[in-house]
Amino acid sequence: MDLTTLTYLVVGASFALYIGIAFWSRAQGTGDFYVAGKHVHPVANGMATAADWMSAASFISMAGLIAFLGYDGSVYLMGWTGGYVLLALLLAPYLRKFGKYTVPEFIGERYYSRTARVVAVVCLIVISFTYVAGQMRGVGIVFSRFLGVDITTGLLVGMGVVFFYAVLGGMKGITYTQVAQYCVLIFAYTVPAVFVSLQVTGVAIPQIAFGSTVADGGAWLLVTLDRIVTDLGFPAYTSGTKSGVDVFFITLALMIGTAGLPHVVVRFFTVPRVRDARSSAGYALLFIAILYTTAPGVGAIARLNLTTTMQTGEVGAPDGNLVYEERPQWFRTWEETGLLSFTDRNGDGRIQYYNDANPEFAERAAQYGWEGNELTVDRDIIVLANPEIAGLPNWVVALVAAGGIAAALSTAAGLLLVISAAISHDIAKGVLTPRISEKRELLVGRISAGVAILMAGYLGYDPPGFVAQVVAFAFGIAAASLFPAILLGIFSRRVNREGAIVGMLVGLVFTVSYIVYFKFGVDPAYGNDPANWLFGISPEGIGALGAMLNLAVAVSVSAVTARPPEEVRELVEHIRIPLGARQAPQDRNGS
Amino acid sequence: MKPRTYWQENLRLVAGCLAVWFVVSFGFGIVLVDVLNRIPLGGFRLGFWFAQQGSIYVFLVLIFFYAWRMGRLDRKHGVDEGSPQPGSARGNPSQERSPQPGSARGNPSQERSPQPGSARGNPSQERSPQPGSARGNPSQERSPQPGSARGNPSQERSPQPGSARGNPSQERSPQPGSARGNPSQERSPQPGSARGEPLEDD
Repeated sequence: MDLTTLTYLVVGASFALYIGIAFWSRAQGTGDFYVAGKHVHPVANGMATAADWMSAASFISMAGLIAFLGYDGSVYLMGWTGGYVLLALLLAPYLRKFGKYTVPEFIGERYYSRTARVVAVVCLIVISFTYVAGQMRGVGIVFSRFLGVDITTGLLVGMGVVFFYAVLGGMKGITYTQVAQYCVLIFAYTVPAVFVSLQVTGVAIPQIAFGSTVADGGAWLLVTLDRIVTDLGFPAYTSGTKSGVDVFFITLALMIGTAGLPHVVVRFFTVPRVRDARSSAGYALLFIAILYTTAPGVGAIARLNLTTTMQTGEVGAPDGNLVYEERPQWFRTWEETGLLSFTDRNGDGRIQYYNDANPEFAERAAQYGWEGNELTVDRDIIVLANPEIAGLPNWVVALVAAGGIAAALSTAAGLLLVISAAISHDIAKGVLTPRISEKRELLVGRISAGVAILMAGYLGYDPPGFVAQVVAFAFGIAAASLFPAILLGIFSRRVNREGAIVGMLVGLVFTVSYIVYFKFGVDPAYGNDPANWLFGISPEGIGALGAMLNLAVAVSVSAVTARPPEEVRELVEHIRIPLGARQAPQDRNGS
Repeated sequence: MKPRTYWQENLRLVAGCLAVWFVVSFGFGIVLVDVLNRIPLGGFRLGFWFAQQGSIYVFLVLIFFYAWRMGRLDRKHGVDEGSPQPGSARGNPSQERSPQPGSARGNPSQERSPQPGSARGNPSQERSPQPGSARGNPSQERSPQPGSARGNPSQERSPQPGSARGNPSQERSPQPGSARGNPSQERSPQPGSARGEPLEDD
């Protein structure tokens, strides 16, 4: 069976599965729609959180990013996993005990203020839309690359599927669909990784393989890799080029941002008990770690494969480089997509792949008769081409396509749900018409989910030029606005409405203006350059500083303004202990 | 030594876990990376390994460790979710589900009524089921010292919905010295009792 047919079959089957699950688990009421009725088993919730969290970026791009960044790629590995420690220890159990439906709802009640709630909704919507646009784009790209349909058709199909299960099933439908999506995506990720590791090192487990020896040469893989890439003028793989301060702050911003992302936080509202919220964060990280510890292995091996494929012999020897006409089949396949391209600058018919941005090495290269780097590689290839480079059967390639789509859809659905919950529960019910009936609230939720999908689809179809630049926004804003407000809401009884609102606004404005200033080149004379950064912190890492600023401002402002009312201090006491969490719904009945 | 309260012990545990979290990632993986890189670990250099593998494994262990220790702490202080209703077999999922279907539908309607129009009507309503306990224990209400997150030692158990639930055996007991003894009887089959809490306390 040819690859396209097979891919259609596999992807089609996965869609049928998702829709089937959505139908089986459709939402009966707002409790189901927002928090899956609070009876998701912690392991299932862990899987769903993992699928929710791991987006097209994690699945498709991360290993490639690490392959080309080497040690500097560690910021993503540590940043996107370390956030779960913060979640499990500082937020999840208490928010579960709070027992309501959304993050802005917590902020609104803890700070006894509709303004605080609205500020939180604004943060939430900006974060989520930034994120979701990238996911829809990912869906479109996977479709067009593997199924040969154009991006628009791919987008429409993807939107249709998400629409079906997010609108029908709400959180309940999404949760159980995400469990299935996690299984698809993790299988699709690890199978090729295991085979590639086996081929290169003889060790089946990627986590161990990249610390092993290369199968034929006998030298350590990472040592070999360091030598090969530095021979070509690239920085050593295992040591970084970013400054220590910047690495520190980016990692911190990603950790805090992860813990403050509303679509991740809300997952811990769905489990039955407080202690489930704690363990569920552990399961989530376990399922995420399977992919996140595999990725650096995949990255290192892929970098080695790619480099040695091009540099077949000694650097500088006339016959040391791959002859273009003799390139492997996967090279030809990916050339067609434009993600891999070759320009024969010196006209010798061979591929010179080296770092021509390194002046010292460029000089030496000129002596070899090289006239610049001739190969451009898109990072996304690393994962997508993995099965072909390893010579795996077509069904594995088809599986990778389904895995990429699963990763993108699951994240998109989770984001759309928090957007719709914010609109129907926090804005429509919380602020505009508190007397809205549950039926209507559910309807508003479904309609806003639908509208959000259309908007996200449009953003995916016609992404504003700056989408790539604003990815840092999502983490920065989450870190600088929501996380500190939630944290203080739990761990301090003294922080009050004024402190929280001013803190959130200061964190938000500071972070957004810093990112905008450098990312959009507001002042050309003062560009996005380490020399110009505040304390040497890049826009990617500034969210961490924003968070600290938020905390400091919130505490100081609270200290000079009135204490929170008695019942708010009682609320804080109430959420600090697990006892009674399951009774929350009934408690309300009594009032 | 005076018995520490539930919240203080929790904060202590959190601080310890976060210290480890910080050391393995920011310490070993970033600040000390060059020093540790001189130490080989198989084919890895140690600092690099911590940055790309080790820290993630430690994070995982940390979360499960915290969940386990908190489970113990909850039982020791009688604030775990199993305790309030004697009849509830904990870990019996069917029982857990039972309140849900109805409440999923019923609950918002009721939620709407008590807070006409105000987002802030909520908190009071949220706590309404346990007014007795909250108010009845003034000493603890007073304590919220400015700025102290942990100050309030005696309170932990008292502002409990548990009281609303009518679990007298445990609500009654908080006599001064019994801070931790009281719940243990409820939980005697639990590992928590390994503490050797005075069972005769109630």
